Amino acid sequence: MNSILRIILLCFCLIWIIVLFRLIRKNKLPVKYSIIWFIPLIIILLLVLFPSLITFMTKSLGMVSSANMIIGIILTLLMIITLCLTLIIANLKRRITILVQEVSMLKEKK
Amino acid sequence: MKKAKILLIIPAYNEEENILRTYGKIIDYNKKNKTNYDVIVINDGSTDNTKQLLENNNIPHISLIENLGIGGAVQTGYKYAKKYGYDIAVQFDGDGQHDINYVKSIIKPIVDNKANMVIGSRYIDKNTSEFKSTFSRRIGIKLISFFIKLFTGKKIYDTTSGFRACDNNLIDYYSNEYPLEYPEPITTTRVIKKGFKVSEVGVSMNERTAGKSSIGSWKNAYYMFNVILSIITTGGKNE
Repeated sequence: MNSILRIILLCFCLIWIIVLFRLIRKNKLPVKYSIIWFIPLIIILLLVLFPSLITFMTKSLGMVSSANMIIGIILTLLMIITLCLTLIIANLKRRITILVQEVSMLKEKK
Repeated sequence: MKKAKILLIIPAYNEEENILRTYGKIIDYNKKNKTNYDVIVINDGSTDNTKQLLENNNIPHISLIENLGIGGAVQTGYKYAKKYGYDIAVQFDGDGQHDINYVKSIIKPIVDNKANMVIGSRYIDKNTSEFKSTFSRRIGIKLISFFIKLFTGKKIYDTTSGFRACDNNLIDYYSNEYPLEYPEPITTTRVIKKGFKVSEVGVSMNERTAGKSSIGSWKNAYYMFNVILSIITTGGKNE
């Protein structure tokens, strides 16, 4: 992994982490949900700080460029994040359904 | 045996043209046959005058404050049935498709303790199946039927019929857990898997007199994909 890519990734991670911190402090992002973002960011950060990990993974998977490996890893992390979001939405939908049903039953005139 | 308390659950979404007639038929039937079917209409956040009609005519109803879709509406009915201790709940369409005269035959297996759930089937009895549905729809129902047989070992002919009755065990179960989308085939698969007894009784259904079915033809492929996927994944929910 060349140093320019490392620097870009490092900046990207740092900016992202700052944004997350600000959002948390403004009460816009609950800490509980920020974990979904912090874990992937920490993984990317580790890879940037220890590039030998990337080189090892790239070689053992038979890939030509370590940049491809990084894209692959980020893509996988994004898919995991999206799945988490889908689960959260499904849970919300279930709760809203229960709420609507119970409120409507309470409003029923006897 | 004491007389069973029976509730007809009628989900209604924009059914201002049908709901009064449907309700009237049930009341007439109750008078003629000295039966005592209670009715609860679940108004699923209709945007037309369904709500006013229900209120003005003193029809027992619950108006959902938001549209939940057929699954959420029917489940409200089951919650109501549980709350007021009904023994049998019958799902009955508000659009005039279902014939009140068949309710008796649908609940009979439950009254006789032979089944937990009974499906009013358009295809089980050649004489009653004058209901015309489109070719693609019949193929779809056959395909769902095949998958249910494959995964539960039980042949269900009319997998999408919304004319169904169930006993208090299933009222309990449904008020806790009922799928929001495509509820009929999914619940059928689930309850068979859970060991409940499901049977089918031949009924005839009328053409829709007015209003639109909840299943549009262009949605068929999407519907099939969802339903078959649910049937396949239900296999793992066997507790």
